[in-house]
Amino acid sequence: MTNVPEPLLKRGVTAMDNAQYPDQAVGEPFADDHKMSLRNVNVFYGDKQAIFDVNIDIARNEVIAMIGPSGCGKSTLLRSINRMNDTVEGCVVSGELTLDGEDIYTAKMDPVALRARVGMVFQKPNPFPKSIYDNVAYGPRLHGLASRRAELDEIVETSLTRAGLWTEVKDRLDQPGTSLSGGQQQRLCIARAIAISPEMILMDEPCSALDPIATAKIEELITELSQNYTIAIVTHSMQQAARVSHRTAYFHLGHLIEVNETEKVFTAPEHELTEAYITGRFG
Amino acid sequence: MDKLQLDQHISKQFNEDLEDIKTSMLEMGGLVEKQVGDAIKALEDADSGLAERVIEVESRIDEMEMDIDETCITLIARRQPAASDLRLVVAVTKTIRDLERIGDEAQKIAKMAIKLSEEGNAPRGYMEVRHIGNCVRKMLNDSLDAFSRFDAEAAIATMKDDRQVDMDYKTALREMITYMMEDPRSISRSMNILWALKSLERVGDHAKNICEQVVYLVQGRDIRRGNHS
Repeated sequence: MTNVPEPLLKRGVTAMDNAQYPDQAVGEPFADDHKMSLRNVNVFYGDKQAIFDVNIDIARNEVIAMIGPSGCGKSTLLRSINRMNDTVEGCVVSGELTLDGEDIYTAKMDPVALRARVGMVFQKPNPFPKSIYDNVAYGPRLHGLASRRAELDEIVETSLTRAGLWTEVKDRLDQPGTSLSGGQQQRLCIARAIAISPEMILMDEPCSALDPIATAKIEELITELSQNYTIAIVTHSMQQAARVSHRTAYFHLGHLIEVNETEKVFTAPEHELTEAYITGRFG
Repeated sequence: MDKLQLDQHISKQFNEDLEDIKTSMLEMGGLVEKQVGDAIKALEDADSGLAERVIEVESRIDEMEMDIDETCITLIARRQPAASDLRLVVAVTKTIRDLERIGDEAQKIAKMAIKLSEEGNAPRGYMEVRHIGNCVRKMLNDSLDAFSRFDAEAAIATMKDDRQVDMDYKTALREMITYMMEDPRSISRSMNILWALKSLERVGDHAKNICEQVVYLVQGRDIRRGNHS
C-alpha cells in the first residue's frame, strides 16, 4: 500500500500532479459486523474496466455514503450490490460480494429474490402508473407477503408511515402515484422499496431531482430508516453525505481511495485525492 | 510556493476569500506583536506617551477581530468549507481570539507603565520584564510565522518554549516577593511590575494556543491540553 501522504497543506504541488491510487483504500474500509462485504471486486463494461479491485464492508444498520466525481464508478458499484448490472449488456462483475456471508453472484441466487432483500431507490422518482396504494402493494403482492386484504392494507400503511408520507396521502390512496409532487413521489418510491421488508436499501442520488425541503425530508427519513436498515447512498452533494452518513467512501476513476468516519473525511481526510475533491480543488 | 494551495480552488472567489482571511489575520498578528513590544518599551523607559498610544491602538485590534470573525462566518455560510479549508477557517477564528487577548495583555502592561511613570520607578524587576518580554515576543513571532508557513513542526517546537517562560515567571515572582519583604515601601510599585510580568506570561500562553491551532490546521489533530496522541 502506498503510504498515507503528507497532508495536502504541507505539499507544494497540486493534488493532481502526483496523485497516486492506493493499492487498498486508506482509512477503515472494513467492519466486524458487516451486512455486505465486497472483496476484490472488478467491474467491466465490455473492454472498459469501471471498477478496480474494490474491498469494502458495509456494516449492519449503517448509512454509508459513496462520493466522487462523475464517472468514478460509485453508481456502478452500487448497482453491482443488487445485481442491477445483470441487465446491462457486456457488464461483467468479478470478485466476491456477500450478503450476510452469502455469495450473491452464484447461480443459485435468484436476482429477483436478491433485489427483494436489497431494495433500490433511483435518482428520478419512478412511481408505477398505478394508484398510490398499488404502488406500495405491488411488491408485497408479487412476493406473496400478504394473504389477506387486511394484511396488505397494514403493510401499505406501515410502509407509507415509515416513509413519512402516510398523513399526506391517506385520504387519496386511490389516486395515481404520478399525481404527487416530486418529493412525495420519491418518498412513495422509498415506501415501495421498504414494503417488501428489505434488509438493505441502495439509493442512487435520491435527492438530485428534489427541492431543498423535499431533500431535507428524505434525509430525515434516511436517518430514521437506518435504525432498521442498512443504507448505501450515492450522492453528488457532499453536504448531503456529511449530513446523513456514518461512513463515507471516496471513489476516483474506479478506485476506492478512502473510507472513513464521515466526520473524519470532512474535517481531516487521510488521502490527498479525498482532500482535493472535498475542498473543491479538482478542475 | 503556496503550500495551502489556496489558489487551487475551482472557485476563484473562494481562493480569494481564504487568502483574505489569512492575510487579515497575519496583519492583525503583526499589529499585536508591535503592541506587546511597545508596551514593554513603555514600561522600561517609563514612557507614558508610548503607553497611551498602545491603549489607543487596542480598540483597532478589537475591530480587526470582529471584522475577521464576520468574514469567517460569512465564508462558512456561503461556502461550507470542508477538510483543510474548514480547518483554516476554524484555526483563524480561534487564533484571532488569542491575538485579541494578547492585545488586552499589552494594554494592561501599558497601564502599568503609566502608573509606574506616575508613582516613580520600581526598584527592581526590569531585568525580568525584559527577559520574559523577549521570550514571549519571540514565541508570538514564531507562532505567527509557523501559521503563515503552515509549519506544524515549528509550531510544536515553539510550544515547548512556554514551559521555560512559565519557569522564568515563577522565578521572577519569587524574587519580587523577596524584594517586597526586604523593602515594604516598594510593595505598591513592585506589584505593578508583577502584574506586567503576569501579563507577559499570559502572552506566552496565548502564543502556545496559536501553535496548537497551527498543528490542528496542518495535521488535523487536536493537541490541546496535552493531548499529543
